[in-house]
Amino acid sequence: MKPSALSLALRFLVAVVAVAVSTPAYALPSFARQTGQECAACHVGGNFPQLTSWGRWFKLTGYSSGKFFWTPSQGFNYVPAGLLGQVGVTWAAQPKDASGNTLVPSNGTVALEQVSFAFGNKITDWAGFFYEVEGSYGYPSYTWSVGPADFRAAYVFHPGNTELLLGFDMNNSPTESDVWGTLPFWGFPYYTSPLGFGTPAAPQIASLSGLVGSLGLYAMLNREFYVEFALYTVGTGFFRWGSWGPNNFNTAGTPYLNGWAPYWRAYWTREWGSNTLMIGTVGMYSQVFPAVTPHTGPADAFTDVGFDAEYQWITERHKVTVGATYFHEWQSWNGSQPLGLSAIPSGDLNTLNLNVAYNYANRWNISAGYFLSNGSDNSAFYNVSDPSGNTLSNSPNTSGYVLEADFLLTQNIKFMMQYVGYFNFNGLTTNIDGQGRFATDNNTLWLNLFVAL
Amino acid sequence: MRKSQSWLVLLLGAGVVGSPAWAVDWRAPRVVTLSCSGCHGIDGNTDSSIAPRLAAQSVGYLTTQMNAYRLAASPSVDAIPFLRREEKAGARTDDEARRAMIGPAQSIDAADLKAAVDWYAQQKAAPGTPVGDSQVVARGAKIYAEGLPDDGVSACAGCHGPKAEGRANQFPRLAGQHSEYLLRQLTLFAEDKRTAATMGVTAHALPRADMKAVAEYLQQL
Repeated sequence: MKPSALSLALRFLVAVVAVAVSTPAYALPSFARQTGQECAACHVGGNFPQLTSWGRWFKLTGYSSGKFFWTPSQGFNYVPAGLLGQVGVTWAAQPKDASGNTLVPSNGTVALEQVSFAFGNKITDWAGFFYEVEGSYGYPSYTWSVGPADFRAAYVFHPGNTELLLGFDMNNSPTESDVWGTLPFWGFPYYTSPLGFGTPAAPQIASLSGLVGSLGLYAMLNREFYVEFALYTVGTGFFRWGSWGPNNFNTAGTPYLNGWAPYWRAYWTREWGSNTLMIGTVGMYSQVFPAVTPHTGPADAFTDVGFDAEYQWITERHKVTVGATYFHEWQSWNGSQPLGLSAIPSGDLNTLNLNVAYNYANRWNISAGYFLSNGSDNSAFYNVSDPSGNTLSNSPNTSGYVLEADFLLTQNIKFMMQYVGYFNFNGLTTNIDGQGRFATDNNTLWLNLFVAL
Repeated sequence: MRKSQSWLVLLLGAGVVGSPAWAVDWRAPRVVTLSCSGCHGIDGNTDSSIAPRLAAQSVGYLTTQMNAYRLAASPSVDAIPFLRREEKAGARTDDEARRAMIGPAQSIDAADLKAAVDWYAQQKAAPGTPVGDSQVVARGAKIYAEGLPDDGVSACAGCHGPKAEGRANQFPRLAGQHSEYLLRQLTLFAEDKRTAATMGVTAHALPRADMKAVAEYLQQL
């Protein structure tokens, strides 16, 4: 008999609790084993993935502090891999539409949502990497694919009285190389239910995860000024490590970059006392083929420019993080519009994210966030009509909030409770599907157990 | 001391000109940059309340503390042969040590550890930063200099020096340390989660408001 998702989830739960209880505090994913430090040394209050000052430095210097997992003289020091797992249950305010069609499958059912093997280690004293292989939720089956992948090498020079960090980086998602909790890849909410409704529109810079590979250089002067420049290209050929999994680039609809897409990032940061402030900008210019095959002919072009800021106040017991991120995207549907895949030749998209988090004693964490996206109407993407075909909206405008509470039982077992609420969806607060659905019917409550071993 | 002076003479004699004026171990820039500076700063003068300032701290004190962290991670106290028996009682196992310091202390080898310790001991201490109410700071100054004889709190200056500059390779430099860091350490001593010489007795006898006063006095030194 094929085991059900629930029994799989329960078995997983029993297994992780057994392992977690029987292993000492240092039994963590490989970076913790490498440095011998607890999660909270690098992650704010242990609430991964938000980084502390030390965590940012560890990443920028190529994950190279600490011990090698194996040396000829010492043999094996530790296991150079980690296991991450998530078991969760999602309830939507209204999981079905008015016709009785299921919008949220397995609503209210406990499911194993994700299992990842995370490999991450120093390679030399000046280089390291992070490579995650994820078995992701694809209910009712699970598919394996690459998760975040980041390879970097860095060296610190001291010309004159200054300090200059120079680094080389390869990764598989725009903004993944960043060390702040503001940009899309590592932004709040850090984890969301795989069954949630999300937002209908996101800028390209946030839409290419696991589909691309990059070559990049970065520099940081006196730990104050940071600049980064990278080129992203489609995750085929040499860059297949960035897109490994079921992604098939010959299928219409899988975003396929035309040529090299430049990505840039710059910020200024300053630490004083328990405070850290960062003000930055980020951007990307990308050309993506329309959602047809083969990938030839004119491509659509997107220019994304973002501004972000983060403030952290970190003391031994109390920790506060405040973040703000704004993106503007100029869209040119040169490829899609002639094919009828976009209703307009060009358009815009804006997104805004604001969030605040408080952590107490590395154990309790509460966060709140606001999100907003608005932009040009485009009936090819955002059309909502009533049953008789009258258009109600062509708008991507969506806004809402996220409330989250986390409890860290141990540093490697986290309980999460997250509520996502909507003010509007596709520009509508009522009748968002033409059948009388309210925007608030898309609200979801998600309970989640996150284990990192 | 004699040894480092002779090194200096050697370096000068070899025609080495310019700063730094001391013998820097070639290992120091790498280990300090990668493993220490993220929290303590390159020059050991961090403003953070999480990690202590290490600039101008004595080699003896830094070495003892690093060994205390190494000891905490050791399965057996006898596994670290270079520690004397009486030092082995000082293992640092408090939460802060466990979270941040036991790992790095254990991961770096003895040569790197020595290089890092020497580096920080040779850094110039930055001046302290103003904090707190002037009356509170004045009370802190008085307790630091004279103790609270009626309550059994001996004068801090007796061991840590009149300017809190540290003494005898054993008593740490406290001048300029962040007050929150100092208050946390005093609390650890008061709760017997950290042990050192007479600090347990002193911290038990010192009321919390006075701990804060002393800590704030020391931060602005």
